[in-house]
Amino acid sequence: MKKFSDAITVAAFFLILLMFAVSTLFFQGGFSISELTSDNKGVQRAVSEYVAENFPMNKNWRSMYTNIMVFAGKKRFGNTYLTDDRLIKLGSRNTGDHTIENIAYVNELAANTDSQIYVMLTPTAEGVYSADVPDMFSDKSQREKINDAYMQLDRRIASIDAFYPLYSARDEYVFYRTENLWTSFGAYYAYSESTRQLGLNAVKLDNYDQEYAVSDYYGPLYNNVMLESIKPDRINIFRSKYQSPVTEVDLFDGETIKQADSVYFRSAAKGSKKTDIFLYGDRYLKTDIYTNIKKGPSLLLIKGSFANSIVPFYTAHYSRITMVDPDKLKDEGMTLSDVADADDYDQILVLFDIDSFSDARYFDTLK
Amino acid sequence: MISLSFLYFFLPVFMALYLLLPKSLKSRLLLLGGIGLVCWEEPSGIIPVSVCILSGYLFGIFIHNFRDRKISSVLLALEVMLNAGVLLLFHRTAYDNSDLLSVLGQRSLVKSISAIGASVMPLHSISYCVDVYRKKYVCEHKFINVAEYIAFFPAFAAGPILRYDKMKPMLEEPEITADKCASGIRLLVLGLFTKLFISNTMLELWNDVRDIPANTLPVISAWIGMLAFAFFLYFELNAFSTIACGLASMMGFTLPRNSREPYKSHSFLAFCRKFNCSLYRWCMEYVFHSIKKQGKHGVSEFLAVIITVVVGSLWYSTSLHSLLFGAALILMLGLEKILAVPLKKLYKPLRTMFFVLCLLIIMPFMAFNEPASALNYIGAMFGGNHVAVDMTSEYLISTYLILFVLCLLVSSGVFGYFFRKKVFNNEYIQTIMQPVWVIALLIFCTAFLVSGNNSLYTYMF
Repeated sequence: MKKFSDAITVAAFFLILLMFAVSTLFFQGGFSISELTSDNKGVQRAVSEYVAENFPMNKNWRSMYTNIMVFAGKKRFGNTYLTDDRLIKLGSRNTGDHTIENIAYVNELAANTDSQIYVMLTPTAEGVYSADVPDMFSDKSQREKINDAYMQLDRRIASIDAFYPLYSARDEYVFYRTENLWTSFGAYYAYSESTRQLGLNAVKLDNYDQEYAVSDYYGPLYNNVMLESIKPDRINIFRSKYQSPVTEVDLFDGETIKQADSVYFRSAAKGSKKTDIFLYGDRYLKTDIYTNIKKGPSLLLIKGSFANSIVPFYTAHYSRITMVDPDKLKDEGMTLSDVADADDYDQILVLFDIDSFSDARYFDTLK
Repeated sequence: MISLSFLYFFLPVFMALYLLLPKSLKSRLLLLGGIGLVCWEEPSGIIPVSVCILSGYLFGIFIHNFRDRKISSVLLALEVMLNAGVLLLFHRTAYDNSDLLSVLGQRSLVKSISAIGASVMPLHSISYCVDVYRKKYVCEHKFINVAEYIAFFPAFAAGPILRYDKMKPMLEEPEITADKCASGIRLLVLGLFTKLFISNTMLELWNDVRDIPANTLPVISAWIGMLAFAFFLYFELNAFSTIACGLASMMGFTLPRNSREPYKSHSFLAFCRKFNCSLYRWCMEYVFHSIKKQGKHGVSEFLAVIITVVVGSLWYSTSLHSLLFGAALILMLGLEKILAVPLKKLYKPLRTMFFVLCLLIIMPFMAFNEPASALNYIGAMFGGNHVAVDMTSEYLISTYLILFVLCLLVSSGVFGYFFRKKVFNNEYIQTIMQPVWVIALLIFCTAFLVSGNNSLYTYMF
């Protein structure tokens, strides 16, 4: 009897190993080994990644792992924290905080231009839903971090508080459940607050038609955990009930300019990062948006990822909005003066989420 | 050795070749497998492998040829120095990537490389030569036998440290049976489960607690953190040793068990003996008894204890924190000796609790690289921050309660007790259940390996 049991054990064990090994090598085509060795990570690491990525039923294994660990009580998976109904990206701990350094660059920009500068540092879901995240995962509250950053700003620079409006609306759908971005609702609340400082009259929400551009969206945070119990996100677009003021959109990637006539790019909804539907996300170095409001002021937006979904609301007020991504500038070895003249704009808005702003090492491009 | 590529590619291919090849070629394949694994992880790893094998083989012959002459002692000293050098230069723990040369500020002198097996091969090489010197057996002239013993890859990660005289019959005639192979598979998946599920989770918990500044750490969180580190240390060693025993059993070797429920000990001496049995035996045999003069107590014994503990501590990690932990351990062993009479009068469970408490108090020296951080942490454990419990403590308890209970049950030997008492000894149930739980654990471990991020592969040894 024992011999039979042993034989079954040995046969089943090696059969399973063989089955998955053969399937990994010959029946999965997700990644090629040359693709993985291209970025000099070493053969050993590349092979490990190749095997993990091409392993049959990869997503099911990952989902199984998460379910086991959630059952055991675990709530943090890498930098993703699981609450009852959402996934929250945790800010990086133990890495250098560059807030003061970056504020100094913004102050320097203000000193070198006559245009009025505004800074809006927004909280992420971690800051707004901080009550759901244990203190041990954040060095400091985001509200404090934002206030500390604002205290360092030059007097000529106006700060815009996005924390309070988002925090007050935290029971609404202001942040995606599976991506570290605010929704169009969240962006609208921040926009309404910012218009007061920018000297504009916010367009009321009644003036927009709501369109569900994507209904079953699982963002990158979901891909980290693959937990089925998390509901998918929906991506809403707020379309003006009247004619869209946008006449032309020029997207510059550092070499070529691509033209479009809308701030929404539906082709992005077919890709994996569907929130790129707003101005193609962070793909472009500089984006110029022209509107039919000829007498309106012009805005230079130094932007992080959170800016993409707020810009459609600003198009109702400005004749021209230029969005510049300092991260992309750094990658291309350029500076702000290479792509835009700050003095050509009536207003300059620096819009980042506080985590990205603290971690950023690219604000020297504002020189 | 804990990766999908090892489990799903290396292992089946290696085992197929191993079973198909004739006996004479099996040993060559085993040696090749060991060298291949070392070089796969780090190509420069060929240096420590070569040094350990060649020095062991050649010095073994020289020592034997010059036996009863003074030069054999000189040769043995050279062998020990050479292998100690390999340990210090190439053994760095993945836990904190520390090594003694960095602490001494001399890392720039030698290329910063580490190799798997660098903690085990030198000990094998030394023990073989010392035994030849002590005339326990004559030297081995077959190079392949010595090389295979020194670079026996199943033991690379964390032992057990093997002895040549025990290994020789198995090296010459490995006993490959379906029974041993099945038993090896069971041990292998059990070891993988222990490493991936228990040890890694405990390490993650410890890392979370360690990241909290010591000046804000509440008492409960500090104790939870240290308990997690103690569990991590034990299960890490246990997992790798179990995997080693499993792999060896699949190849027809029987390796000794390496740890025997150390947290049930009622003294530090018993803890040392039970925590890593093979290392303890090695240290006692080749360090302690070499220094302590026979029948004499006092200075030579004291010196022998100090050096033995230092060598044993350095095996875990050639870094400053290991030395500090070693110093704390010597202090505890000393106190234990002084207070031997009153301690013996204590009720045994009470002694065990007292021992565990003392162990957790000195454990921060092993967990932190800087003595100041360890002292601050110990301060937090005793309420230095005037906070007993906070939201973080509640989170830690609610999140890790199940795992803590599991760790306690395993480390206190409850499962072992049931196993020994043969509670589940029904033959029919065993016949059905054994393959089922092996496959279940394999599936479980595969899920962990597929979804594993880099932190999963952090290991102590």
